[in-house]
Amino acid sequence: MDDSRIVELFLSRDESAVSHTAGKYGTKLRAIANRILDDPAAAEECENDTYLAAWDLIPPNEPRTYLFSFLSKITRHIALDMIRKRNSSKRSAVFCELTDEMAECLPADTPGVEDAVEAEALSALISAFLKTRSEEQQIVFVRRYWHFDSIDEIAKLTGFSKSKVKMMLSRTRRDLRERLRKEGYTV
Amino acid sequence: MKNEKWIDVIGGIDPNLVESAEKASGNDAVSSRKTRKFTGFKRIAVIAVAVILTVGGLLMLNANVRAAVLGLFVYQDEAGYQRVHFEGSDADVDIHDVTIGYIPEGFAARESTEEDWDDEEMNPDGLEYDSRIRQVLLVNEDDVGLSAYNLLNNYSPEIVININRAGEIDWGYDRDAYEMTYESTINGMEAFIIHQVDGIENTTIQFSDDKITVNVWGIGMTMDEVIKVAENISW
Repeated sequence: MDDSRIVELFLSRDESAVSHTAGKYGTKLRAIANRILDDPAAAEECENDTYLAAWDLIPPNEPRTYLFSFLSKITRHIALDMIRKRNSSKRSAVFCELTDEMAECLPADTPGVEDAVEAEALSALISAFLKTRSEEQQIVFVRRYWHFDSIDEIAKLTGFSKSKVKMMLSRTRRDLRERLRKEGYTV
Repeated sequence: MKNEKWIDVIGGIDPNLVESAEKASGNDAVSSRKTRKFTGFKRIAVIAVAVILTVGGLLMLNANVRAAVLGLFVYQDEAGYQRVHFEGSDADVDIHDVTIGYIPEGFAARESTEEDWDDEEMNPDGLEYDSRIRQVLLVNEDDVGLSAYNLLNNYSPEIVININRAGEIDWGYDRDAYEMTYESTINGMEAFIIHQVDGIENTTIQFSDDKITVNVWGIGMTMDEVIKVAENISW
């Protein structure tokens, strides 16, 4: 079922919207959560909480053309909140790895959701930067830092060698760092 | 604790970017280009040759090796990276990344032997011995080889030059591009060095004693800087 039809089900308060969403995106949402939490049971809880949140958020939102990104953004928030609320020091190895990588190119005082305006501005800047890159570079970057794909997974997805994927990510992080510095950020 | 708020910021990027990446699939691979990685033995040997040949008087190689650098040209590869390529005499193009380095203390150069090919550490891929391939290794007094990766990362060369030479080679593989990548530091900058050898159809790999080709590629350097480095290579 396409995203637009699923959103229609949400809008008409048809509960089958959740089962259709789960069928289409459940595995991916769980995978994203598990990469942050490294806990399959918690990841499943995250997934279910995502559907509840989506039910509350659609309407007024109507993510007809970007349902997956809408849902996965919720999942990411929920997963990170779980870590924070549990005051857990346990982080998945993947999450730690990505945090280290992002530390190369994002400001040390990167704003979070509590600084919504600043966070949004930085997100917009990063989006603008990514749009100046080739489609290949965009895909590799987003698969890595949004989807939490491993280097291996990205290599298989794209057909690039692992070394090339690593190189592309390194270059993109380096160029993002330079772009942010030019915009006045301290990186 | 490191700042984990990157996840919120990345989470707020344009959803169209996320959707595009989500739709990328293996069936429509972003890159259809085949690559085969050099690993282990060949990687060690190729880099080792380069380092040795750039350091005058430190050769244990055939004294007839001569470089005939007639010129250089700049081209752009498939990934959009600009490269400078030196062409030796009328040799067919042989593309290598260029690294300038030095032999670390305690190591010396020697030409590889058939026994090296039988060594699992030297040749983890179990490649078949090919007498036409002449390669040089950097070894210490215990005859333990120095891997290219360690060389680049532990000895921090200024820039590393990689020059390869051997007889005409038919690798016996499909005529695909070969690629290997190393991380290193070049002039204080993070860098990757890619060694790429085109397939025989387009770029016949011709090696002989008097033909050497060098490819200079500097990450984060301007083309002028790259050319300056290449022009200052001493033979």
